[in-house]
Amino acid sequence: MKHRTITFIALVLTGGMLVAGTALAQSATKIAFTARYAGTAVTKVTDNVVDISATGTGKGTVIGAGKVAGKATGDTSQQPCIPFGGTGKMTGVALTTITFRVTTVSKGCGDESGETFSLVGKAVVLKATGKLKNAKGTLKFTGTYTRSSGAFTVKFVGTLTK
Amino acid sequence: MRTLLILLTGVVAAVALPGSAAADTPFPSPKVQQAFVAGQTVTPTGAIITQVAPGGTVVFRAYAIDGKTHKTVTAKDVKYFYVTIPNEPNVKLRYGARLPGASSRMPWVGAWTVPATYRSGTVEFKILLKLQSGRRAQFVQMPVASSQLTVTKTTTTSFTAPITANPAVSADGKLDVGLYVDSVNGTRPAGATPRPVGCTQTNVFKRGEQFVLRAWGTAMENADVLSTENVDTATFTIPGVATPVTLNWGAHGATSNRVWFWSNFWNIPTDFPLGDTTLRVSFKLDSGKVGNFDYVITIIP
Repeated sequence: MKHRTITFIALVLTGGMLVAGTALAQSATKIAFTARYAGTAVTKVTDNVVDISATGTGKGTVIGAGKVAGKATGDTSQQPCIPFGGTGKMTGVALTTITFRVTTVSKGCGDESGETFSLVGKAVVLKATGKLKNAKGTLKFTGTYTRSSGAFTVKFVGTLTK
Repeated sequence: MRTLLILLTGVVAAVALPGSAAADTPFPSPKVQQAFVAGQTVTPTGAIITQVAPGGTVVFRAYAIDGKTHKTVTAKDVKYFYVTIPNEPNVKLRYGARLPGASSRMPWVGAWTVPATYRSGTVEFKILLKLQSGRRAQFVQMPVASSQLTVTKTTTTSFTAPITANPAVSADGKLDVGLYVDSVNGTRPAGATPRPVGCTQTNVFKRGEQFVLRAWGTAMENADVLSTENVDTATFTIPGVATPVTLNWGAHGATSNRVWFWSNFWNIPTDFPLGDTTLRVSFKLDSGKVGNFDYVITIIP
C-alpha cells in the first residue's frame, strides 16, 4: 500500500513537471515596447469626416530608428474630442515592422480654439516582422497634434507577445 | 500554468516599464514632488467663487498630501501652511473640517477680507506649505484668467448659494492619487442665459447651465502628473445620470500661457433636482491605482 502511494505521488509529480515544462516551452515571450515619433499630419475635412494622413520619424525599443505612417478618418461632429480610426505602420531596423489598426476608442481632443489636440488611443498589432516577427498585442498611444502646422508627436507603449 | 506564467511575466514587464514624463506642459508641472497641495477660493458658506468685491471676504481652503508617506496632512504635520497675497499680510491656514468654508476633503482654511482700496484685477495668490519633515509645496491657480480669483466691484458672475449640507467624503489616511478638482460655468449653456463672464470658478449652477469640471492630479507613487500617458480612465459621475462623463486631457488657456489639464462639460437638464448633489470624480491609472474626489455642487432655479 505504501509502495503504491509513493508510486502515485511520483507519477503525479512527474506529470506535473512535464505539464509545467510544456507550459514553459509554450509560454509566450513578453516584449516591453516603447516608441516615439514626430512628424506632420495632413487633414482634409469633408462635411463631418476628416481624412488624416500622417508620417513621422523616430525610434523605439527593438524596432530601432525609423518611421511611422498612417491613414485614418475621424468624425468632426463630435466635440471636443474627435474619435478616429485607421491603420498605420512603424518601420525600423533589420526589416522590423509593426502594422497596426487604430481602434475607434482613439480620439483627438482639441482646445477651445481647435488648434492644439491631445491624442490618445489604442493600436492593435495586425502584423509584425523582423525582430518582432509574429509579435501581437495592443499598444496605447498618446501624443499631440497642432492643426496650423500639422506637427504631431506620438508615443506608443505596451507589451507585445510572441 | 501558462496563464499564470503570462500573468507573472506581464506583472514583471509592467513593473519594468520606465516611468513616463508627459510630452507637453501639464499643470502645474510634469512632476509634483515633496508634497501635493490643492486649494479653492470659497465663501464662508462653501460656494466656490472667482469674483470678490473690495470689502468682501474670500476663504482659501486646501488639503495636502505628504509626498513620502502619501498621508493627508493634518495639523501635527505642518510647520507652516499659509496664503501669500500680493501687497497683503499672509493668511495663515487653520485645520478644521467644520470651520467656515471648509470641507472634509479640504479642511485647511483661512479668510481674507479684501481691503476697500485693493486694486481690481486678478489676485496672484500662492498657498505655501512646509511640513515638519522639511518637505515643501505650493499651490497656484491654473493660469486661465477668467477662472482665477478676481477683485471686481461688479461681482455679477459668482452665485453664492450656501453649500453645507453634503460635505465631501473625508480623505483621511493615505491617498494613491492627489487630485485637484474645480468647476467653471461653460460659455454655451443650452437652457439658461449665459453669465456675464464665462469660465469662472463656481460650484453653484442654475438649471440649464453648462457645468464644466476641471481637474489635475499626481500619481503619488512616482510624483508624475496625471496625463494620458499614465491614466487609463478619467470620469465624473452624476447621481441620476446613467453614463459617467469622460474627462479629456487637453490644452487650455491663452496661447502664450497654455497648460494641460483634464476637463469636460455636462449640460444640466432644466428639470434636474434642486439642491446639493455630489459628483464623484474618478481616475484609474494604468498602474491600477485609483483616485476619487467627491465634489459637491448646488443646483438653483
